[in-house]
Amino acid sequence: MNQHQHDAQNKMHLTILVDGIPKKEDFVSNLKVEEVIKMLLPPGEKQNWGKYILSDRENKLDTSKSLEDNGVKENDVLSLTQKDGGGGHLDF
Amino acid sequence: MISDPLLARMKFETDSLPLVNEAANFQKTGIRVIEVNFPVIEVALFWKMKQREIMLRIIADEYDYLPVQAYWINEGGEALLSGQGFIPQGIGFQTEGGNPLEVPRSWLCFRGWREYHECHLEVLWSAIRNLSQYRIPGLITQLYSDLNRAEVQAV
Repeated sequence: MNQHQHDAQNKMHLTILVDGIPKKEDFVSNLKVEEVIKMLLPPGEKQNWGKYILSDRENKLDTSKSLEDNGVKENDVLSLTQKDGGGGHLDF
Repeated sequence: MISDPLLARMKFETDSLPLVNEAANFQKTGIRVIEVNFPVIEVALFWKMKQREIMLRIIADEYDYLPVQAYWINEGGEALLSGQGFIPQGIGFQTEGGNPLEVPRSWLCFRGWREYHECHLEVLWSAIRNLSQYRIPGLITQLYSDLNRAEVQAV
């Protein structure tokens, strides 16, 4: 196996909704989810990666694990959102 | 109307384009787009705790001079009310009680939704409306995420 084939086999094409806008990119399958979140955030926000979650339809992904260890597969669709959507707390 | 209706429609159609063009991808994350027809959007969000969808009607009149408003509906398009375990409550999910627009329906007390800004005058809509997370697709994906937080109950 040459290096090109090896690299190709370890990448997966994903669609990630960032603020509801689909971003289609290739990611290395053993990349930690923490790193994926940082890649998706704008420069000034990367240090706040812990405020965000990356989810598939069923689960929040474990940020300490890789994409493949979270069960993410080629052509999956994920969503990046804030942990806390800024809900108000009102008492009536 | 406060704002130019043509401008409101143009902004609505621009912002809602991903929901139309990428509906299949939204559905894979648990957001099923039912209708996009100015000024209304209807989506069904998969509510994991209930293992079923719940339908949301979003009204974007005066967009984006004013933020969008929204409420839960049944399949007949009528407002869902509390008392039967059909709607969420908690964090910013509010039942029909105390709706700041004084209409008998559920409401959303989250930044970027109209009723929130009716209550929280310290957060100006005009100051946040150009941030992508508060445009229509961003609001829907964040709401879907919040709907499935552990703090949310069915009432």
